[in-house]
Amino acid sequence: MFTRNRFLRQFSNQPIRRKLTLLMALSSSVGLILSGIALISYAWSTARNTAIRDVQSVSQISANSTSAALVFGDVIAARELLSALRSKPEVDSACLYAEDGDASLLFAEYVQNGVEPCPPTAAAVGIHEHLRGLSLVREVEQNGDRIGWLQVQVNLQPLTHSLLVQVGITIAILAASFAVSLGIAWLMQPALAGPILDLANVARRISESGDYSLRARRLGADEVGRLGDDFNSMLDQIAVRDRDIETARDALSRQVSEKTAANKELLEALDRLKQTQAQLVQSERLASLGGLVAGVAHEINTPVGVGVTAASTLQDRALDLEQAYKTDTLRRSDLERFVEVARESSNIILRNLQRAADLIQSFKQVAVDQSSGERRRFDLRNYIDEVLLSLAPRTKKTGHRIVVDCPPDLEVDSYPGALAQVLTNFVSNSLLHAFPDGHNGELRISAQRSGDWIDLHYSDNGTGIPPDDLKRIYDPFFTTKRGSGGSGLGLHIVYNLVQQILGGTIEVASEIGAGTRFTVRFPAHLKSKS
Amino acid sequence: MTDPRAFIAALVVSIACTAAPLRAQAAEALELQVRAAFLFNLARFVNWPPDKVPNTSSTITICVAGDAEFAATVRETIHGKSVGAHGLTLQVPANSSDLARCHIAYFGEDTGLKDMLTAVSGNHVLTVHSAPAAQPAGVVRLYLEERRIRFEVNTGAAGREQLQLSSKLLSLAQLVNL
Repeated sequence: MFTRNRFLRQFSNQPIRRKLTLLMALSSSVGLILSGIALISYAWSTARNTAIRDVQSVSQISANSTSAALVFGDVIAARELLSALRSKPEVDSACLYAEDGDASLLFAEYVQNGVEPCPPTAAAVGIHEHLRGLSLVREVEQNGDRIGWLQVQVNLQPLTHSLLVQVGITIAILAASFAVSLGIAWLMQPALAGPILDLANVARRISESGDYSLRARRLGADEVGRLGDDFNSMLDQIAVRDRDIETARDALSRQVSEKTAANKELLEALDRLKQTQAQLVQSERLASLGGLVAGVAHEINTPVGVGVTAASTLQDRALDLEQAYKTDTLRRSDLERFVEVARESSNIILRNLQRAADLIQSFKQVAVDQSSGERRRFDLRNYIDEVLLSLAPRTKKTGHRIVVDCPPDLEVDSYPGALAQVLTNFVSNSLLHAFPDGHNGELRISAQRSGDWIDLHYSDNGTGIPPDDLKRIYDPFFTTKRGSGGSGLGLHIVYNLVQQILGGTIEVASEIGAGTRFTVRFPAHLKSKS
Repeated sequence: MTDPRAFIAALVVSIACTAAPLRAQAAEALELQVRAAFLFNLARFVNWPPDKVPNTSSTITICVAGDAEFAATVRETIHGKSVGAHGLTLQVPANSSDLARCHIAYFGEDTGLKDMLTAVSGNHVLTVHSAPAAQPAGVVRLYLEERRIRFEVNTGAAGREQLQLSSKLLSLAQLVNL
């Protein structure tokens, strides 16, 4: 198996020319060898059978003719009878044996062609083959009784010789026909291998040079010719495809360069937009600070005004009292009334100054937080109250109820400024959008701890946000109230603050006519910024 | 006995050599055996007419007249032997009617030979004798020539007795026609 595989591998590595030549020469030689073997075998077996038949008939005749001489012991007659075989040159010897009990005795012999004399006793009955030819031993009978044996030996060497001559002639024919078939194969193989080699040559040249304009020659209408046609049409298709690819590549590279330029412009525009957005966010924060300041001024104005009024009243009464004292028209009742006015006035002044001081304190806190972005530990409930207080100038006159539901002593470690701005923007949005008809609504802020997180809910019971708008509320500059003061940045700022500063998440749910609800989840103790 | 030629030569020599009586006696016995074998072998080469040998298994009778010693030798020789399917038997004929039933008849004595041969003729008997000369009614005559036993066949007598003698036998014999 291994040898066969190796042979096949070696054969398949040969050039196709040599394969064809070898195949043709081999197949014709194999046929000749087989027929030569068959013919020679047939000739040999026929000749041998003829020789056997000859020796059988010769021995039959000799045995029959010598039987009387044998039984009557007439050696001379027996020898004479046997010598009749001289007319048969292929007979080497004839040996007549007499019976001697169970053994055999050489009785008479005839030897020619210079071979050795007969053996003293007869060999077994039958045909014996040896180098020179074959010998046949048969019984000599008379009336069916065995009276002796006859051995006849024939020389088959002439036969062998003629057979060898035949073998030689066959080999010579074989060699000649091998040579002739090699020659025929050599003459024929260009017709067979030529087109294939031509095709292979074209394919190799194409793969080496990349020149797809080359074409195989058409050298016939057989399978190889059709292969060449298919090969050429394949090349045509490749050429068409190459052109298409070329065109597509050009178009693509043009598109890419256009797109690159456009992209560059877009990137620049985006940069500008981001800068603008950052500026706007900054100015919005400044604007909200400004609003805060305005609110603070307005809020403080009231107690200070009341204080001023009370102080001027007290001043008037004090001047009146001084006048009466100088003119000695001071009556007891005047003094008593002055003391009462002085007490009330000082009381009012004190109370209003105290309120102004409180306001300033809380505003100061919110303002510092908003501008500084400082991180600190604070009480959530108190802080919500402070933020609402800072918003009071805007909320009080609307008449909306503000409900805070937050447990006391809920300590948070985070950025209070961000939280304040988130709440401020929620409330501002509600005030701006939720109650267009001016009826009194309810704003609700609730917060509770949930594990390490704070859940802060803000809701109003206003008009709600339409679903189409709800998807865009965090987009920068998206507003439905651009004409009436909306910047479109409020919830964008909220979203960024919750995500980036508080490290939390924000969700919104809204129903038309039922209100809007924001849920902000942020860690109670913010991890240190990396 | 390794060589039949030597055996035959020894036989011939011993027949001729009569110097020592004991050796002469042995040579005489040997000659009797050879003659007995001759009679037996003769049966192989003869065809009798159908009324004499009706079928292939009928017994062939060999008769020996006038020589009791030779009769004993022949009996010994043919004991347990056959020619084809034919059995063999030996008879010493007492009268001419016994002789008529013989297939092969050997006459040892010369005296009255001619009468006996004449008496048996017409009965398809293969007669064998060893007279010095051929007899008109005798078929086979044994004689010594160059110290060898040879035989002579009277083809006329054989034809008259309707005996078919094999050509192979005839080719070995001296032929006369009386």
